[in-house]
Amino acid sequence: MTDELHDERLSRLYREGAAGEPPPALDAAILAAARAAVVPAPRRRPGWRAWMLPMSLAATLVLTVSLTLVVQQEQEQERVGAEAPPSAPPSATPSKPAEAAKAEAAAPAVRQQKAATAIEQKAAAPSSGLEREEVRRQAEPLARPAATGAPAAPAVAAPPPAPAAADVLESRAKAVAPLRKEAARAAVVRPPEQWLEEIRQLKNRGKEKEAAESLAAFRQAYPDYRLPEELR
Amino acid sequence: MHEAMSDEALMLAYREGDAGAFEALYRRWRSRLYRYLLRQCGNAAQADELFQDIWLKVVNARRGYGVAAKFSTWLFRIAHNRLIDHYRARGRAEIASFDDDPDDADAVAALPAPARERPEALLERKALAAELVRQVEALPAAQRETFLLSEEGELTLEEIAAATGVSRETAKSRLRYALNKLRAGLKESR
Repeated sequence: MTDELHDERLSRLYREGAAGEPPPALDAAILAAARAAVVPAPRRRPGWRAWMLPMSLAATLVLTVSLTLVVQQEQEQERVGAEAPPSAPPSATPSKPAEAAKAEAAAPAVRQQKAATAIEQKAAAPSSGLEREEVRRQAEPLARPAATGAPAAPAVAAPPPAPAAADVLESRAKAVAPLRKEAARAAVVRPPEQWLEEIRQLKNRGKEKEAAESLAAFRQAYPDYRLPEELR
Repeated sequence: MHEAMSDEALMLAYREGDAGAFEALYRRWRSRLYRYLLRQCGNAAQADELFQDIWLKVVNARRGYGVAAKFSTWLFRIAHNRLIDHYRARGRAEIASFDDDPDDADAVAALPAPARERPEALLERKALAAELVRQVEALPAAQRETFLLSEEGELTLEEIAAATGVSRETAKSRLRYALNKLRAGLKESR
């Protein structure tokens, strides 16, 4: 078909002569670009996750610096303590007021503690049931005021607690244990007048042996105390 | 599945993320577009560069694609604009020929129509086809483009006018002049 604007034979001849194909590499590049353009982009991480690494590094740095400063400070304190005179009592440092107060309270009773040590050694290994009973009896009346409000230590072994309360009682016993030891120590450092009165009562009841033992303990505790005439 | 789809449907599918649709579309038009460019610039390396640029423009323009015209019209419109940019960048004389296009339809209409093919001409067909391609390449740029859009793009006059940004009458005149010149050239070569 041939008209003014279309010549079929001319078109056929042109198609026979026209050549030219894009190189395969060009095809591959264009198709790859087209595929890449429609691949969904990877999801962005939440904003807070972007700060995870720097925040971790900053926290690690702060922790390291703090530990280093603390260690340096402790080493400095140890060095100053080692250079101080050895006669200085460690309990007198102003940084430990509780220990200083405790040492102050204990100072007037130094002599009593000497006697207490002797009696404690005896009480630790009583030779007979009578001696054991005497130590217990001596310790019991003074243990309560020495506890200063804490639950009083039982003089005799308490019956086994119920299993349900076992844990509570055990923890309470652990808390009371140091107080009990303190009470025993206080029992042997009771005032001399009271102690001598007890000795007199033993004598009056005819317990000469117990009275003599208690008197010997008294002399060890108060070697400078002047005994009344009837007890010499 | 893609083979049965129209060009426009394929492009819409690609816009929605179907990479296979683009590949089908590319296979349909790659040779025609490439020959259009090769005839227009006469240089395979330049044709390669323009060819890649045009298809990448298609890829990047997919989001804004709508079926306002045939896909081929849209594709060759992109090609035409890219070719004009190419001419401007290189300062080639072809750019001028788009402006001083002779529009003497009466003169070209007087050119003789091609004679019926004789049997002996078939023996020379291959050489004649090559000669025709050479004459196409020798046409003024505007006429050559119109002829190629008609032959390679299979565009109508209206579509050629839309792709090249001219009136239908201008496109018609260019095509008529190109055809007559090619006929005359072939007659002389026989």
